[in-house]
Amino acid sequence: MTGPARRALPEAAGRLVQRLVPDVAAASLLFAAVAAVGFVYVASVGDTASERLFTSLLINATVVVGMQIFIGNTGILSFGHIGFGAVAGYAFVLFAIDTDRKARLVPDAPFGLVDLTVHPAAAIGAAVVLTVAVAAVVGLGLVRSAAASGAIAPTVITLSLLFATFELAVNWTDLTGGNRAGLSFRPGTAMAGRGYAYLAFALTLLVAGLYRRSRSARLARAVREDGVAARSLGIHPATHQMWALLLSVAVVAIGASLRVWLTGTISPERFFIDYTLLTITMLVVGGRNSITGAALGTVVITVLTESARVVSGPDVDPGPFDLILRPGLSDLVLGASMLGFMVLRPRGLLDDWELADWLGPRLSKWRPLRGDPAAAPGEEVPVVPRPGHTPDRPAGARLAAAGVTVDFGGLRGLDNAHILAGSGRVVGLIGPNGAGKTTMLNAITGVVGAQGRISLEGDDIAGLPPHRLARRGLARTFQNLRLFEALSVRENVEVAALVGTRSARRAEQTAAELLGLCGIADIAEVRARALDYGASKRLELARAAAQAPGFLLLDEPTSGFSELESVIIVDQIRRIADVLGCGVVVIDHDLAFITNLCDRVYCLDQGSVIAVGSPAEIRTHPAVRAAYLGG
Amino acid sequence: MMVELIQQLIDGLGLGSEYALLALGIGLTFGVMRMINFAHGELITVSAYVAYGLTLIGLDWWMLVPVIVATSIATSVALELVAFRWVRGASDFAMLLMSFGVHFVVQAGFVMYVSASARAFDRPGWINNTVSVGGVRVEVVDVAVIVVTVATLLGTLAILRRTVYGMAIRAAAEDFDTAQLLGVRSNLVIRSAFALAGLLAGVAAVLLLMRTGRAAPSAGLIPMLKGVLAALIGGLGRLQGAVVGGLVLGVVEVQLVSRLPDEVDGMVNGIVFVLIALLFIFRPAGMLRTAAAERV
Repeated sequence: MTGPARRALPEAAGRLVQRLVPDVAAASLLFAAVAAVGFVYVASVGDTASERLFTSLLINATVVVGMQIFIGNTGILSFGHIGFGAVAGYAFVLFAIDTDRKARLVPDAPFGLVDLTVHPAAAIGAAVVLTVAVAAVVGLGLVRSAAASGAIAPTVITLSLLFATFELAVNWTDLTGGNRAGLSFRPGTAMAGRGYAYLAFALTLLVAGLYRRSRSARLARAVREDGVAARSLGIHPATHQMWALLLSVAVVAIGASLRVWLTGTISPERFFIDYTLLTITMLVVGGRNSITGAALGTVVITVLTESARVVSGPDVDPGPFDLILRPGLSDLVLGASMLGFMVLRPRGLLDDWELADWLGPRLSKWRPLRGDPAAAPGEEVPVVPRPGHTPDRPAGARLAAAGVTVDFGGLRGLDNAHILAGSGRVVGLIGPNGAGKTTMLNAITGVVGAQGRISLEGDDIAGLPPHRLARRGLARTFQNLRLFEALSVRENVEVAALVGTRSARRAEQTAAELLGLCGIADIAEVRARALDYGASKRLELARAAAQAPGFLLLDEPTSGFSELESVIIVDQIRRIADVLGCGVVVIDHDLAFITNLCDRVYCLDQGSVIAVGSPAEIRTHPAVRAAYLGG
Repeated sequence: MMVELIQQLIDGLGLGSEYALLALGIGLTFGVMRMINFAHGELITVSAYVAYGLTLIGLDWWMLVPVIVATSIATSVALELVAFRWVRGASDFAMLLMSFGVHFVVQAGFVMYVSASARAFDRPGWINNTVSVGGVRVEVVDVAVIVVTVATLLGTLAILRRTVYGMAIRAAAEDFDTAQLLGVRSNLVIRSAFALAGLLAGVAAVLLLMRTGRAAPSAGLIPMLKGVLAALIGGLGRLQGAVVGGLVLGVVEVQLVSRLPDEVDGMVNGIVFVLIALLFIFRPAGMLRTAAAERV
């Protein structure tokens, strides 16, 4: 497409196309690379076995990239994807093999399946629909448990389901032909659908790449990095994990169906623990957080295991290496690669390096529309980062908590405490260690359960989950930093902005502006885990501000800072509060800091509010002096 | 009816005892490493092949017992030395996959150097004997299993409560970092935990192999899975919970076998796995535990 023609497109469509360019290019390039390797290999060996091997590589790569969509983006280790593959494989074969054969293999098949047969391509479609439906039901439980326990329960659930699927396949012989016979196509039809294997792999790369760029996937990755922080940004983990699961299972279902079609047969063992190990090893060896890594891992592991199979096979005289070159070697190589990588390079060959990210800046050099589309002339760039979900916030908004009581077992963390904050004002919360300052913040933001009345702009918000509170305009930072460590500084802030807007461009603008405001624009592309303490604190502030909150709740923003740094951050907090027009609640135990920043101060001790007033009043308040000095 | 129920209960506790022994071992190693050991079943696999080898040369079952237990302990400590120590403190992901990988390496080893197919060996002669107590027909082996398990668990409890090692393990299970800061030696604690887990798995292996008389490269897979599930049912890291989880799993399984119609007999494991999946959906932290609040 020529430059003028491109410019003739509507602005938005042009931008969309531009955004997709790196992903489409990366998918094409990756597909071409894998295909080239395959063609060279098949041409140089030149027999059916080599073609079969390459086709199975394409299918495995489809399955592995499919798994990457879920495992990579959510960080939940699933052992169950091959179980979904089994469901798809059986569904496919039952729709696809001809009626004569079915009458012979599974004469008692239920649901009238014996008299039904469709083209294999249509059967794949049916298998995908069915498997995704199963995944939707399973997913409801999976994401529920992931929310409550992190990674362990979902891993065990998926492993249990893999075994359950296997047992079902073995025992429901009317449907599956059981463990011995299995189900198979008429002999001689194997490899009939190999064209589809190319198509499926190409489409999978594209879909995975586009999904990775999507808002939902970015929010899912934020949850992967830190669930608590993600929720307090307003991200509902289950929604995004569910989308990842469904897309991932759909791709795996396609791969599994093709695997059955290409080999012409299915039995329970073929979609069980061995194939699970194979695909998971491919994924983690290449790098589970990268699509490119998943494809690379498939190639590397295929080369390794196939070489092992050949040298340990009957055609090679083991000679003095008899002890090693014997059947079973390729499984040993597979297990050992898993071990080796877990010890030496647990994040895989590529970690989260992605071809599309590498191509992006390079491609933009010869794009017809140069430069940042955000800075296109004649367009109004909003100064205030306000991604729009609370546009009509009243000037006198109030956040009020009263009679708040929190019990930790026998210990009372808060006892009938209260606080009132208004927009445009900075309220301080001070008190000695253990006074209940953080507990107050946790109670307000729904992280701990509390009794009492908590209201925002007059609405009762007690008991709402953190992600709903965040969407109503509460943003917070944490005492012990909770950044999305594998994401860059810019991405950390963008993710927060994306919660409130569906426009990636607006999120980028918001992020750019806030990074400048917080003085971290120069390190925008650095990973959060590489930041020093001060920069991390600033990033957390920027991230909270990117939610365009009505109230910003800051838990010890200056802890660990020198006096000079404290002065700088006070200034930044004030500017952010001005720009956003929000109210601020800030915890600290540094009286000087609080005095500089706050309009009003609450002093907590042993869970109760012991004093309220202006900073000057608080400093001279006898109860405060007693609490601080033990006097 | 009553008699039948008691009989099933005894069967269930017998089966559950084996799970409890495995679950406790998995709980112990989880406590000190925060790793779910998917390779715990390899202790049974290795023990099975040792039993197979020793019966081949005509050793009596009574002689096998100490050898099996010793093998299991040695294997457990050896796996820690060659494999698990390298992923200490790594991510959950790396540790889970590490143990998963160990399982496959051991399995491949047996395929390469023994055989891919299962090997049978003689079971003790008294294995099918029963005694009748007040109308309840009780298999001797069930009684033996329950007695041995109770003794082993009490012994383990004594070690954990009365010895310095035990205290160190318990402290580390609560909070490994703090325990280390207080001067608990991490190598010693972790290895003690693995040794103890090996001992428990060794006892479980003896009880299991007496019944099955079978060695196969994947012999440990299902027992491992049941042990892991039992530990999770009881709430990971809670040692008593692991025991309760094992017993509950055993009793439920035996109930299912006796209640389900014959056509779906083969599905018992499948149904158990689905039930467990359901349990974790509604109680992600296990049956007993109320989720601990995370400090933020």
